[in-house]
Amino acid sequence: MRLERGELAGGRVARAGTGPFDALLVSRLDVDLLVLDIPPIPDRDLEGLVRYKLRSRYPGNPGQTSFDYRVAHRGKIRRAIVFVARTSTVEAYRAAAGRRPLVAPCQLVAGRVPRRGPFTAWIGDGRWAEVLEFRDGVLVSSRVVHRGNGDWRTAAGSSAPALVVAPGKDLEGLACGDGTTSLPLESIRLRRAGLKGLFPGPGPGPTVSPGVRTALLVASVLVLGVLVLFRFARREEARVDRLQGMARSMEQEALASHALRQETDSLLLERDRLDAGVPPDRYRLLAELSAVLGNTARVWAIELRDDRFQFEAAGSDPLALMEAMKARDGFDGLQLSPVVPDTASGTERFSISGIFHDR
Amino acid sequence: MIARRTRVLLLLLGATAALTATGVAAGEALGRLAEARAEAVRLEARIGQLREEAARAAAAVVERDAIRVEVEARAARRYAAGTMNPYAFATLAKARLSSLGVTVLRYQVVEGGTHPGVDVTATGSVRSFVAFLRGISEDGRLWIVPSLEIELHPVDGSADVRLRIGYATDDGAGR
Repeated sequence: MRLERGELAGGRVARAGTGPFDALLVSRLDVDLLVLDIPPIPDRDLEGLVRYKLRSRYPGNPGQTSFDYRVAHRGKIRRAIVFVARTSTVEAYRAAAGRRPLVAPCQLVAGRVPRRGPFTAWIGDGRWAEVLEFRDGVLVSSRVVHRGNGDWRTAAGSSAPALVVAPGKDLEGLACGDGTTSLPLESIRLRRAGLKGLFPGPGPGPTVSPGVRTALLVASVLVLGVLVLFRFARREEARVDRLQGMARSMEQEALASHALRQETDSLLLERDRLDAGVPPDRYRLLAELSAVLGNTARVWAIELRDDRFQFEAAGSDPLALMEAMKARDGFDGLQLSPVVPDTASGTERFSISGIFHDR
Repeated sequence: MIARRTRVLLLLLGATAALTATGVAAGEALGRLAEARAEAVRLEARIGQLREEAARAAAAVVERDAIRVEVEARAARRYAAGTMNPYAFATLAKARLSSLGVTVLRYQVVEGGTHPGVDVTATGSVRSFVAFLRGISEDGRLWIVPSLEIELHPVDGSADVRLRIGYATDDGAGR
């Protein structure tokens, strides 16, 4: 992220450069920094505590003052790093920065502070310098010196810092001695991830209360549910249309089948009409009798009338003959007359009557 | 500024209206869905029945064609109406019997009825009579034998026969 320096001038924030930038560095002449020790209280109560303490530590009108804070802690040490400014100043910086985050000078060195021991850093601009004192990684104090008062070191009144951050041209004239790391302000690139700008804006649009959000969510779910139901209904109706089409075409085929059945029934009636009064085939009847009688009996009279027959014969075993005739297709209603054995010939005289079907 | 109570009442009214509208819409959708499903079930059952009928139709065609062939064959054996009369038929019957060596002892023409023809008393060999019956069974035109009495003489293989022979016309009138 490219850093641009800003400073309040004539009610508006002027930028040090003209090119594009990703974050706006606030001037310590415009934004004050207070380091407050805070007790172990819930985070939700922290803002109220800071606001309370500011009343005694900051001289400005609370109604015209805006503040933001960061909590730093190490071990049992817990401190609130509070950034305070007039509300009009904050609004000017917001207007200059747009949606870009506002960055405090102390945030530039946050990643370079050792976790043990004292650490002093100077962050300077053209007209001011901030002296930051850290101990064990936590900010202890911050004060601003005006470079208009003279040389930095004299104004700072402290030993040589471990780190100096300033515009490159200012670093050239600054001799801090060995052990001091100089870092041009222009070379600092902040990482967007994890950076939380000061005095964040109200957001892209009006906030929606949780109740309204819940209501909108419920309404969306209900509407979606109804739409899904209508979708299911339309899909089922489309399926019904397809089935109706299929049934219609099959109904027409069924009508053809019905006509086929009627034609078949008519043909059966015609066949019955043709067969009405036609007796069984006489030759076939005689052939069947001949086949079943064989050489077991000798027939001497046959009478056929319509579908009935009767024959008189003499044979060795009329009972077996009856069984044989009953087993054959075509013979029904068979009756054996009283059998009269003929002792002279050794045969038995009998007659058999019945019905013959040749179809 | 709207008073809080009024705002709450308006919110409740709006929520009630929204819920009511949603309920009505959901009810209609569910109703349509239920109707469509019921109709789909009915149609699927009907289509199942129609499929079974269609499967039977193929067999029905075969059956119809077979019966038609039977009927045509039987009708073809009948004399066309007006082409035969009992006297001509009696002449044919006598000639056929005589051709087989059967001696006609007596005959009488029978008019009227569905199968007019001739009553014949004859004598001849059993073989001749069997040949006569086989002939009228297998030959083209339908000759009907409503009655037949055979008295067999095993000694010489002859038989005395009394039979009625008739014919059928395609109009069933026997003329």
